[in-house]
Amino acid sequence: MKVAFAIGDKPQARRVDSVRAAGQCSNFWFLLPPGSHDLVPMPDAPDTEIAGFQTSHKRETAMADGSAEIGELAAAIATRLKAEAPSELVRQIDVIIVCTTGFDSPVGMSLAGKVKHIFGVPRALPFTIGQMDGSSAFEAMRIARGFIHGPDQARVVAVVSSECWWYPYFRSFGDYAQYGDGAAAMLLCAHDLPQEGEATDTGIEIVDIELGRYQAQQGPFDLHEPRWFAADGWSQAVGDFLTGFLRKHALSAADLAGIDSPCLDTAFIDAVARVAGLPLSAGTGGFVSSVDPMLALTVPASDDQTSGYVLSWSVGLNGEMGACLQHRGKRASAPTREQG
Amino acid sequence: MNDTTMWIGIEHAAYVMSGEDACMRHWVESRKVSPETYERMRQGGHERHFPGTGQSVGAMCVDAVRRLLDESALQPGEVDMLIHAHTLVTSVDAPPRSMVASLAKDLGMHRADAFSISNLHCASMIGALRIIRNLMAVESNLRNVVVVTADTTRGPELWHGNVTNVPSEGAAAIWVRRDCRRNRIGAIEIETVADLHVGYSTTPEQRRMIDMTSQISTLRGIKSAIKRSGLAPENIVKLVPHNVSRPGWREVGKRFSTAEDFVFDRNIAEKGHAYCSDVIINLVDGDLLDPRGSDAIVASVRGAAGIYAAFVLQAAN
Repeated sequence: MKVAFAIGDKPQARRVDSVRAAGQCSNFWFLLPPGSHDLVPMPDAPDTEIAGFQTSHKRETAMADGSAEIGELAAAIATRLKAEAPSELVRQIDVIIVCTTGFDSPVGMSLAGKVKHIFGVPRALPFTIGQMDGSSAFEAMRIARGFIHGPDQARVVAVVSSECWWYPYFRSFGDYAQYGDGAAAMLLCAHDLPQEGEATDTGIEIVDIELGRYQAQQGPFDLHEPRWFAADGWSQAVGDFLTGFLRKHALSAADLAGIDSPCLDTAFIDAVARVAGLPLSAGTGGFVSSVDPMLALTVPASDDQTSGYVLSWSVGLNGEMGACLQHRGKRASAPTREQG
Repeated sequence: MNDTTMWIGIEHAAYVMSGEDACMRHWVESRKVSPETYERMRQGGHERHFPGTGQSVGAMCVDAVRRLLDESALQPGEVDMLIHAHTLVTSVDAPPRSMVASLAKDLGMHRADAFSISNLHCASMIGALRIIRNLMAVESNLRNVVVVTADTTRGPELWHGNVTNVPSEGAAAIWVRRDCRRNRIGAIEIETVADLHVGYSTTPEQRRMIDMTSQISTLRGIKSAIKRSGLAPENIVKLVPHNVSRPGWREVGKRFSTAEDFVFDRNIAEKGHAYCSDVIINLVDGDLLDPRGSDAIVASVRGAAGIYAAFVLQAAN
């Protein structure tokens, strides 16, 4: 499976505690877990109260302006893809997978249907996958591979990812993660997709995708200190997961041309690096959970100096672990078999 | 890589309703439903529903999956994937919490990948089947998948005046198995009309268009599912719709059979509309799992936002 086209961006990064989140959705207040209501300021709370809730962070996070929401960011990136991707590719979209961690649309509406409407592909199957936090883009790639190589024989699968965090939802989880906003979209297809006219190849091949889940997770709203995601067991599990994935492909750190890691606490990233024996460094601009792994695919192989295998990985606050192995640039010979 | 000889089937199905059933009248009064809408609900066949006990979606999912595990030979540790299919956008926990990941952990599904599918509304469960079929064809180690469906209707501020069904609180679960010896799933048809993605917020003109075309779209989907399953219309012994709009389903049913009970629609009056869970509830209540010989069942759903879906259940051999 190859990346035929990819696009995405994050808004400008700002300090989380320097602004008041513009978007508020009091209708969904009830979804907060028991015990957390006292920790969250009401939408009409004064700035001082909100500032008190936000922890003090040194890092900056990408945050959308105004009253932006997940659906708007998804629609905007889909519109850009429609305008910028080769029309012959867009026309061949058979499946549309929208992925997000938050609420994707108002009650009754189908955001995936809206993206389909934007693409103008009447025969495409649109749906949304969620509840996977930082792993959802990897799950979307896995499902895309199924649709491309399985009975559906999809010609092109579009994956659209969008995140936008509103109050009353937590944007910050201590020093571990500050959730950011952003959107990305990509078109995936088989290696041998017949192409008409201009070449549509980013030079990026998705070699394999791996997913896992940490069994000792307690969920993001676990208020016990120390929180499970700050404990050694979590970084050990993620390190072991990455090690196992690379071993499956007989690759070591020396064989990798690059690694894309999530924007999480540097102490956590360093701990994972020690376990896996990999040179990891945290991403920047906040943790845009379902979007970040796709942003790693938006630079065509011809536009950077990286050639060879690149590991992209991320995690979620429910113990999700996801990784994908890409190959950038030309290979000596075309791959004959993708991992299943 | 693509296993063309593989098929998927439903090994077992189970469901739970939340609390006791009640007359729809209380719901209608509490939601200040207009007399016109009430009349449409009544004409649609609605009488009783399950207003629920305030259980969360997660709690209902636990109950449904536990019942599935209790009634079948499936062990939690054998589950490779757990999918939560839901209609309502609010049927999840506050992000970034994953209800379905917690469910997998709490039920001991140690190796299960866990995620949700939505935006196909009441056809999201059928969308899950399509995902499973494609994934199982390319991943030989994917053998047992549990799909759990559950929604809960929130307060009046999240209810739309154009809704003409009476909602029920419940959850259902199915064990989908590679090369299952029963309930082989034939073709899975899903058609979505992108112009109608706004769901209930359609314009009067769009609603007129829906009224004119929904029966045709439903019929087209069912016919295609039957044909692509290699069956003739006379092989279909029962049409299992979701629990809304009884007159419309009876009209569709007449295209396939003159039998009075061809459409399994008694649950529209008895159970109400439990969103994605309806089809599974109806298959269980109607004792319709396990078609034999050349007999087949067709299940069909049409969701808000212009979504039409159908799939066929047939014997494994």
